[in-house]
Amino acid sequence: MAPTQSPLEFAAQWRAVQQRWMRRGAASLTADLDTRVGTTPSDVVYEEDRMKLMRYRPVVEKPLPIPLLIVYALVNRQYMLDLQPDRSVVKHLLNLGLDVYLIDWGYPAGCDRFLTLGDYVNGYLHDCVEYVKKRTGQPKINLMGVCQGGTFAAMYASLNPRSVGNLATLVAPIDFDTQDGLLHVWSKSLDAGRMVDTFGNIPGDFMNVGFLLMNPIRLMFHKYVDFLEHLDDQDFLSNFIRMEKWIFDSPDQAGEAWRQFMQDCYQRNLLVKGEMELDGRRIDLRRIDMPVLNVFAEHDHLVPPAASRPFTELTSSQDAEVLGFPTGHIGLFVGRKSHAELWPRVGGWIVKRSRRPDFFLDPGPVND
Amino acid sequence: MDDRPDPADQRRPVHVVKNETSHTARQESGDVWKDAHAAWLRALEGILGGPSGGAGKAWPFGNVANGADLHSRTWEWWLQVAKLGSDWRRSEATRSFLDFWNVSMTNLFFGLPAESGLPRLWADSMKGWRSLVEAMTRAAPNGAEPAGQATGFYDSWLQTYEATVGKFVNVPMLGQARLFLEKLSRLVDSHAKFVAALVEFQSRLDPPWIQSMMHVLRRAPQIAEGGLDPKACRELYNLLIQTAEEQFADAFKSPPFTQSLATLLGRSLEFQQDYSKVMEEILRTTPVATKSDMNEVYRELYNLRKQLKQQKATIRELAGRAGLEESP
Repeated sequence: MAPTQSPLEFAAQWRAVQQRWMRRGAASLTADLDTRVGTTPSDVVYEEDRMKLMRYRPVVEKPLPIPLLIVYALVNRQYMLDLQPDRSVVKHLLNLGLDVYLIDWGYPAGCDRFLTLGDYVNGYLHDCVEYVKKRTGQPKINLMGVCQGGTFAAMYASLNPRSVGNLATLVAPIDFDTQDGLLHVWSKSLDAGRMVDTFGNIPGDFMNVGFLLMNPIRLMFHKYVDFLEHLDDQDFLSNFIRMEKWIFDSPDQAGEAWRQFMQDCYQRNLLVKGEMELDGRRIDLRRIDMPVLNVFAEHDHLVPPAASRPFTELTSSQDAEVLGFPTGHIGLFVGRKSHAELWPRVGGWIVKRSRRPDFFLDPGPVND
Repeated sequence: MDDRPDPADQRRPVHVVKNETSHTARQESGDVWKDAHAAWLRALEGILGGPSGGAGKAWPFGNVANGADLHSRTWEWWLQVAKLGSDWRRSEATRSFLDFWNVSMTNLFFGLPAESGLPRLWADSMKGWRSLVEAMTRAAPNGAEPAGQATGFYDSWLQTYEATVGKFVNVPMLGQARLFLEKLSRLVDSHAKFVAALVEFQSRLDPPWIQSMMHVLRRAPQIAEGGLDPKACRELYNLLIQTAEEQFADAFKSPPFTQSLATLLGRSLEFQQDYSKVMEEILRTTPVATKSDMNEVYRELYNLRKQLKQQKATIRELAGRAGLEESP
């Protein structure tokens, strides 16, 4: 397209560009795009209410005996860890020989509105840990928490340190007293109690609007321009549509659990203060004495580094590692660079510590 | 002997508004409808007032005729509203409408006992509306700045609403349907406040975008120096996206925006709650469960599920102690 000074000529050129986009779009979008998500083979091995525990089929003949249980957030869906076949966190961990379990929290319905954080952590998560321990015959397991699931994993490890051999948290908010992320700024003046009283469960769409509003130009406009520009790139389109599926697959949030998470964590920062309680049991992060790997994303706009980085300092672990990676919240799981550089390190950290001789010793009573 | 009073004698004197606006209104095409309406009123009075017979006897239909008389003036008011709709942007048109409205509504309330407070309330309301018009005039001298941020327009709007229409919306309700009507009034009230918060919030989204556009326009001549081509367009687009992203990020972190967002959410929740209350009243007349009913069921279900899990755990523990196999 030649440069022009004439608005009319420019308009004609612009029309030509649009027509090319339309032609490409018609060809690409009607082609057989593979947009499936969560394709790594798995089996549901345990169910409780809406929660399902999935075990991924091992890809090595003899997986490591210590299993890995992954706890995802209540916000959005767990298949983010298995979004693209060529960049699947789950597949990566399986290839390292790990025995991988993943919790699918499901979609809360009206009758779940009274579920509390205690029900999630001391109930569902605890039952999953117990199930995996029993199934594998191990006294303790590896626990990995992602985003809010990382906060849950930290809570659980603090209440049940003898059940967790190694703890890995990824982009997990722990210290909520920061002004770095808009979620942290906005949530301070949010009337969480009234929201739950009004809605019951907090609608997933409401959560999504909040996330989109954090960067409306990029998330509501620019990314679709980017989409138009890549209409002839089948791989790009497939992955774009997979991501769209995930972004707008937002379960409602169980009302009482959401209320407590907003008020106790985002507004009062009780977890860091050592004052948070679940079902009357106080959470003391210093009781986390097992090896801890804390991964944060340096450009995370949802869970800023200031919210996740301090975690290890709050534990009493003698083997704690903090790992910052130059990417965003989502890029950590689907980025090309993350899969090339970060995940081998995370997987290696778990594998190495799963081979510790003391891991197999019976730690004694489970709940202490 | 029929001693009912002549309805015509009971009617209050009609104070026709003698100002320029009302004269103008009569010259509009709406006169056809006004004449038709007047004819209808005359016919109505003929029908309803006719059987009244002699004076001195109370007869409810006479009051209907009075109501129709009031209605006649309200009709005139609506004609003015229609006229205002065509040139509402001119503040003098708004002022002249308000003058007309003030006088005609004062006439409407004329004759009501002073102690009822309504004439005074109306006069106070008009002061509020006048201040709103003045705020509007100040707010939009050339459209350079969003009204909400330049002058506190929406605060002014809300205060005016609360001093005027809001007072009418919140008058105590009477009679069998009192509770329902009060809920309905609250819904109207919270809707007005929600809309005010919404437009105020929206007005805060304008400046970052306008600033970004201004920045791009300032840079555009440099970027497109050699003519408009895809590269220059892309550069302009990138600049716009990057600038807008920064502008919005700064705006979103600012306390006024956070406050505005919190207010919007609060008002939206208030409106939702009032809406639910009205819906519940309506649903009560149908064989459909209300939200409150369902919440009770949900709570019961939650408690039952918890009890069941506790009992299962107890059974497992007891079975374990007794060395029994767990039942499936």
